[in-house]
Amino acid sequence: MIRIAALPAAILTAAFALVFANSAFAEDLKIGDAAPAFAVTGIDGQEYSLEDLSKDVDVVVVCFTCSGCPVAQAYEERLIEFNKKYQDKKVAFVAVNSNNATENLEGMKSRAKDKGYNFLYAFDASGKTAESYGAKVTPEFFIIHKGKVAYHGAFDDKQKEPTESYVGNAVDALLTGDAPKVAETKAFGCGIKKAK
Amino acid sequence: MILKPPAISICVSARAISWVGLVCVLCGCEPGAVDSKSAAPGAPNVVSVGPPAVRIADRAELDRVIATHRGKVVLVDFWATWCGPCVQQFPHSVALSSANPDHLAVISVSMDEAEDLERVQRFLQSQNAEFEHLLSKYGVGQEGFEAFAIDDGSIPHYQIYDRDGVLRHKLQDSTKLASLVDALLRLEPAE
Repeated sequence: MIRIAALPAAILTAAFALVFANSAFAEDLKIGDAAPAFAVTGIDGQEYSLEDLSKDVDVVVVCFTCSGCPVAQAYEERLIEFNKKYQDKKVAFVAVNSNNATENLEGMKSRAKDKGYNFLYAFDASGKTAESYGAKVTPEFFIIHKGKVAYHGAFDDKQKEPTESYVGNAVDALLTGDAPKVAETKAFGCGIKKAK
Repeated sequence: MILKPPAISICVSARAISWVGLVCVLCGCEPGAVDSKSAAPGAPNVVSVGPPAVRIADRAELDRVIATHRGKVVLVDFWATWCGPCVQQFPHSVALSSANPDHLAVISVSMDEAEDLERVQRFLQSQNAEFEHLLSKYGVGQEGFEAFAIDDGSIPHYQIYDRDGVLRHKLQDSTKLASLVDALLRLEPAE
């Protein structure tokens, strides 16, 4: 027997299933694990690999983010400040957008222009970069030092009036040859929306 | 702590009715949403037309609220106005609550900032969500996700407790809620 009343629910189910198509993630990277290689497309149209980014720097900061998430948006200004602060240090920074179900390079270009991004913003069109890092939310940070994951988690402790800059502290420690005191925190934000 | 946002509460005094027939007294009962369910016995009849009451809560408060529903299955819906999928999926929780009024308690926990209270209330009102609503005291940040044990750091996030108050499921996908709740509803409490 076909229950007509069940049909709207079935349609809703299908719609939500699309939103949550990305439940399969690679096993999470651990601190000290080798950083997986990746190649992403910058909003300038160029390809950037982890290898390229690692040249002549001691630290690579990989920030999984996107244009549409309000939490990610709340961090844009902090990312700009971070990049101003570290532009003359041996630090490379890339903001990777893996929301290939909902975003595209054109939208990213206009977001970067409107907000005055001073850092590399790149599209992970296949979503493989997020998958290989086990990134789940935006914004979520990985700091890579000598090819290994040295920090994973949030940028700081809270969106409003943060008291501790985890990424800043970790980068400072690494630049002076120390291991970050806090190497792992919980990233919080919007789920990364990858296409099936 | 109960936050009291601006709202219009129409209080009808029983004595006034008996005296002049029908007199509506627009009371200046403290500005705020008055939840008729939480009104003390014997209090004047209060009709709330304001937004739903939302309490700022920490983890201990959530645990306390869950404990008040012992004997029922409890679904906790962690959401935020800034979270698109949460807002999209919220009707699932409302529908489950309406379908199982006697055996399921739904609690919403907004992970917004406290200053976004009015936006939270507007949304809850638009959903006709007639269950208990909490607003995380932690704001948007690591502390809140850790306090509420939202392991993957993102919402929507659901936690389902059985009739004995034991956490049985954590999930992100609202399409699985109904079957998980149904299965727990079929279990008798241990005590």
